[in-house]
Amino acid sequence: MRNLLRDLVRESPGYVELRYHDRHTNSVSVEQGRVEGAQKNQRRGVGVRVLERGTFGFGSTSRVDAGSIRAAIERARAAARGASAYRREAVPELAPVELARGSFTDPAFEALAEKPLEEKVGLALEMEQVVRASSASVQSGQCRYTEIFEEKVIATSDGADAEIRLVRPEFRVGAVAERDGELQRASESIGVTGDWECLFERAKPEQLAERASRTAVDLLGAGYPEGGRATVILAPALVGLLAHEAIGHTVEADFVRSGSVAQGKLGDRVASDLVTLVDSGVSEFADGAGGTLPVDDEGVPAGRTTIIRNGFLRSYLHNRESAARFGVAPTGNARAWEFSDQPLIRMRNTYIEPGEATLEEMIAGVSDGYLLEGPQGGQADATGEFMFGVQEARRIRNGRVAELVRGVTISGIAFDVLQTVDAVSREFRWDLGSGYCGKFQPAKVDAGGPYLRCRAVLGGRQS
Amino acid sequence: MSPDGLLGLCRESVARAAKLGADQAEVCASSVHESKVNLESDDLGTAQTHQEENFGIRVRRAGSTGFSATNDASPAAIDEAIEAALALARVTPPDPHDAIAEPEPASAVEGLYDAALAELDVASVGRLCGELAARVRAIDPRVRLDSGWVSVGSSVSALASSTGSEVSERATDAQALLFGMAVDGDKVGSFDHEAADVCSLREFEAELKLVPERFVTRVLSPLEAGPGRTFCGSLVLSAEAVAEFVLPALSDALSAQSVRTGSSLLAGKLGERLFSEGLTLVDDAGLPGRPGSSAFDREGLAHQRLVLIDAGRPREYLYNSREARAAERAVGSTRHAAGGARTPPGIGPTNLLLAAGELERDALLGEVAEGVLLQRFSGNTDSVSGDFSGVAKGSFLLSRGEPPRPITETLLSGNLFELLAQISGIGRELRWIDGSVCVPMLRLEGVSVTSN
Repeated sequence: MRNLLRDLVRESPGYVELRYHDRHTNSVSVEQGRVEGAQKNQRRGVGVRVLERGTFGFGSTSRVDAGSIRAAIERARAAARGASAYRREAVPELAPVELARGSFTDPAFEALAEKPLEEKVGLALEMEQVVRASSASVQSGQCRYTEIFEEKVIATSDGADAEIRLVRPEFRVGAVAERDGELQRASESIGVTGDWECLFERAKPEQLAERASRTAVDLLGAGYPEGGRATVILAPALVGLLAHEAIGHTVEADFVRSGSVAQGKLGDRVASDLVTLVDSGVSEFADGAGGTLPVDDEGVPAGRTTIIRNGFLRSYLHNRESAARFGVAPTGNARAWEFSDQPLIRMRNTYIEPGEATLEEMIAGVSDGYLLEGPQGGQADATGEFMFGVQEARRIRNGRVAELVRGVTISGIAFDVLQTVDAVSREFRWDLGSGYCGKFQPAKVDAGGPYLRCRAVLGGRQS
Repeated sequence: MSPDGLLGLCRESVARAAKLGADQAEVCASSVHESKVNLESDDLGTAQTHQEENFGIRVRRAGSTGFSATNDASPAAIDEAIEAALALARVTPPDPHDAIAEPEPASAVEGLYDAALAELDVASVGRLCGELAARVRAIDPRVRLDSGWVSVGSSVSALASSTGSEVSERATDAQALLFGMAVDGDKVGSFDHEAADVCSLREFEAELKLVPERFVTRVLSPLEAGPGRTFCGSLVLSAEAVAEFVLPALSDALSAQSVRTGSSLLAGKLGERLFSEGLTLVDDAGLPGRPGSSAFDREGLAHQRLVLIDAGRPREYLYNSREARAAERAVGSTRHAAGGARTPPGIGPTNLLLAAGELERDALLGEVAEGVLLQRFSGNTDSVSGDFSGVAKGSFLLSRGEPPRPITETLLSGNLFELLAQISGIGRELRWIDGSVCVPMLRLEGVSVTSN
């Protein structure tokens, strides 16, 4: 495939980018002792992008022979020509960069492919049982195991020639608990770029199953917070969500061009000096981050980009087009979900760097506040306003962790909240590897960080 | 590809599955052709075309089920997918409730295919997209189009099975999406979106003239947003908010799978008065000319109109064949097997219609002593417990006698199922949202509002 694509870009005039992408996903889901679905999903083809008359044209084909790819190139050219008359401004010449060449294969790919299917199905069946057996109050258990195998070849007319193989397994367990007609649910999940051992390195599946079950039961009868501005300690998963949703999206260069709150703020103080925020294609501090990739889908090596350094905004996230417009180097953030998707500016592994405090010290310093763990989704706005759901929120009273409350959402303006950070822990964790980012197409990303103490607004119940 | 051509490939694949050892097999396929021009940063972006066939193969062997999907129509790739499905069936415990559905005739739904739309080329789509962006700019230069698109496509769906099912259908679909915000000096408003989704070129051209005005109205008001208040009061939901905030949680709770697994508060409560009397919810896949309509479900069974909630009382759950057998439901599935060729049959609604009420918009808003008009909800609604918590986006503070005032940094909290028992008003006007949901505005009582 690599030779075929290399030959095809050589014979094509102008900028041509060819991306062979074979994604196959195996998954098994179990609920109430029944296999809900056991499936393999394979989708492969070649995505073609050309730059013609100042317009990108994109075509794709699921037939991966030379004739079909040439036809897709012609369709992409025709699309670019057809739309170019209605553009206001031409796409500039793409930013020059040392493009990737070579083979980038994660040995986990073969290791996980060789693991017998029976063991993967068996794990899901067994862990769903563990969930239900953990408490008499648990009336429903769920378990899902998924593995995404990715094989790509990227060739561009200006020199990219890369072959990539990696695999991302995910494991998720959930419980629904019931008492006196009240239902509560909780879940635990983990996802990595790596093999089976990497997936369960931090926590064994039984521990995750029991924890999901225990949390669902504990949430039964828990009260609601009153709501309002509060001191909160965010666990690494929520710090990751803050870094990804509330900051990361606002610094994607396409969004910056449209007028996001980060526009024109390079060099400004946007956070406390305890905050250094990074997006990286590498799994820093700990192995297996779920958004790890060696090369992006334009063939740019996926390095490390410091977005905020010691409180000051330093960089946006770029593809080759936006890098040319901003006069900077590409940051390796162009990513496409499948062969039929065009590359967009997306994050990889986004995190806040660890600090010097211990969690115990941070809790001891709070007279009235909350310890927040377990994200339940999050969204952010052009204004930097964010919203995160929280699965487990515990009150902190006089420096000690107290009762569990439920139905908690936190919100704030991201740059304002980051200005209030007054403590950052030494402990660091990747914790969103089972998540997907949505921007018209999914992307596997990860995010994480240390524990972080700040001020934010809690949604609550008013009497 | 023609409907007959795709159905022929499904039929051949079913026969191959039998040869390779399947006791039963079902092959569901789709063929899609799409032209799309994107909007990026206030300009046209990438222009693209896409054509693809997908095949989803479900096999039964010794009482167990396996599923595999491929986008390669070659005999070798189909055989590989069948082998993968059989391998999964071999390591999966038997389920006596799962089976391939028996065939039944389905009547075609009118107005799902428009030849004029199917023939539109990518250059024409580029022209429509350029005109759409120009209309937005002409209304107000403060509006920034972050992204969006215009796409037109045609598709064929087909399904054949070893039990004798053979159904096919073709459709066209045209979509437009605008996504962005308003920027005025240092002020940046919340982002919002507006969309159109229809089946014919005539409807599409009409929608493309209306979408920019609706989009600009939505994104401009947050520019003037100020702080809200903290109170417990009314919540008036726009049609868009009803579609995104109310219906997904209700659909989940009405799914027979949620009921069977103890994950639905509606379990065992059919016929009980759980919600306000004005709440009536119907599922109907047979509406002519709607993108959510189709003649048959994911198992090839003929869709039927179904009353889900009647005057506040749940009347029926949504079933596919597997859940109907598990529930020992004598009349079988409600024909709500959901999903496409790439997934095995799940459960889901088709077109959801919430009944209109009596109130004009002014009456819905004007009678509120203290409340929030919710345009968009950015938060979580737990369909198991009904608890929700999140941020009111693009929304307004309502106070009797005063004009609605745009607000920011305002959080809402409550229990959706409890609020649906406290509906104090339902709008007279119905709106189609995202092509498959038709809803009025709703006014609910007792929501907690927290402002920064």
